[in-house]
Amino acid sequence: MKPLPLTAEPSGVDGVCLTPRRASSWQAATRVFLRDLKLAFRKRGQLIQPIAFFIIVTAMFPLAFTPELTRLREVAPGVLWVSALLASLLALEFLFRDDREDGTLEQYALSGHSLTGLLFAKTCVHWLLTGLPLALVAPLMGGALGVPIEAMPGILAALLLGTVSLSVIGAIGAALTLGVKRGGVLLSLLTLPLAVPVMIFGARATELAIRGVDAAAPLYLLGAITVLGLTLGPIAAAAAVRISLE
Amino acid sequence: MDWKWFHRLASPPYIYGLAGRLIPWFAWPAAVSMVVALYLGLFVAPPDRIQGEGFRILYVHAPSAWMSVMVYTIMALSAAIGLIWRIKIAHAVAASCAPIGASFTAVALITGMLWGKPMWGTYWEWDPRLTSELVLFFLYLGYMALRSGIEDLAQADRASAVLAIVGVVNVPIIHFSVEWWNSLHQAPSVMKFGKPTMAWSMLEPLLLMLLGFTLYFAAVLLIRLRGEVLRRERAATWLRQALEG
Amino acid sequence: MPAVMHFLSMGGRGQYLWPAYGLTLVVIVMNVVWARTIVREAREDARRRLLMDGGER
Repeated sequence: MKPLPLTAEPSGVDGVCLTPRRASSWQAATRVFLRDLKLAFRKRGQLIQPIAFFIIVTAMFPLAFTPELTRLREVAPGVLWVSALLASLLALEFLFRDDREDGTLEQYALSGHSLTGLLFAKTCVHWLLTGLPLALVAPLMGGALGVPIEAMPGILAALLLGTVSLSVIGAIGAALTLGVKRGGVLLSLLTLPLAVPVMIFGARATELAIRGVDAAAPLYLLGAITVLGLTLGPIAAAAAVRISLE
Repeated sequence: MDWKWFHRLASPPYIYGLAGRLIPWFAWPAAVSMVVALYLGLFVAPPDRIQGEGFRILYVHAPSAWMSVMVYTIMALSAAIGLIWRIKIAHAVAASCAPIGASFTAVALITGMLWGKPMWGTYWEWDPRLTSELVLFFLYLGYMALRSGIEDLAQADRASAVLAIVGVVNVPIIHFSVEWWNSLHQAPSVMKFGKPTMAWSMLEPLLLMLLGFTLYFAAVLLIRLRGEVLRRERAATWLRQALEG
Repeated sequence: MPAVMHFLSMGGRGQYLWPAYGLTLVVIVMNVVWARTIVREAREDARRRLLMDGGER
């Protein structure tokens, strides 16, 4: 595994190295982003796990509950959101785990770059590989639960916002439970209370979309929560990571 | 500025002794307050126009709910002080708050259910206030679980402090939820700006109960704090003298 | 007797009201007991440790 270059390439005239320029935090974050993407794509089998889990769990409900589409439509918002939450939680455990084990996380903390920014980059990758696919698949699964096509844009919007929030909130939980052995259950226990507002408004927006009613209000609130989470979440996560690494 | 007086104040032996001396000053007024409030609430306050005698659950439900939120706020505040200024005793205070707050959150939820069933016909509704109170309960549990999950005490202090601070967003949600959304709960008639809209004969026992519960919390917190301090002070020399007494 | 019965039934809400008061009382007492147990156990623990340290010297 090549050492992670958090400094910029040496620059100079004719390629002669003068002094290595120190990378900006922005460049460092970009590198972390690309690195995480690259690493994730090496284990291609693991990439589809969150989506597969989501589909399976969502499919459980018609099997366990009822095959009648009219009744499924009523519970569709809850089913979609709970499945999305569970699938996100599943993937969160691995957000920091590998980097902690090989010492990369410590390097990030010591690098002098903004840990908040680096963790934000990691969370972005996590969302692109977990939340975004979930949000894209959700309308289809909704269709399987009897949801009309007109509702699908609303569902997509709600889940796009909601999964971003879940990734950000989950990152805090993952950071806090880094030092705990078998902290997976504790991670869920910590993340779920914080994720409740997201669930409430997300499910509400989905429900309104299914009924064909304007879902703007809960979507705005969901958006507000997402923005709040994006701005404050990585800061909290960075603080938590530093604490866990002591 | 000379901070010696502050460090003396925050030092474990001083806190241990001070807490021990202060406890009766909170415990006895608390007991008196609660007993008087109980009497007034059960015997003197007239039955409610709409709810009849059943409204008297208010006198245990409202103070418990108040406790659940007040204790969390104090816990989060102490945790923040401990985290930012690295004052160990603040972490001890936060740790002492958690079990107290959690138990009264449970009481608030259960007494709320017992009030709701005859009133609205249902034990539970997923309305904003009840839901956010339930979230508060899980936040307490998560706090305590995180503490016990991390072996190093200093790390446990600081990680749980982050959690407590992040969870504080829930507190304004609990309070303002009845204003922001249509809720089963009635709008605040006491904790709002302007004059309360409740009759004095009904209000008085409530205020006394709130006072009693608050004093009670201070007393129990001080007891727990002494325990925490003892637990954290490994082989300190002052322990020998303190334990002799 | 009718006055006591009226008091206990609390206008028909007695079956909800008294358990609520009872639970609150239990939790109030329990918190105190629990806190004092913690202190007592910590004291005994500290005493034991000091004894061990004292013995080693």
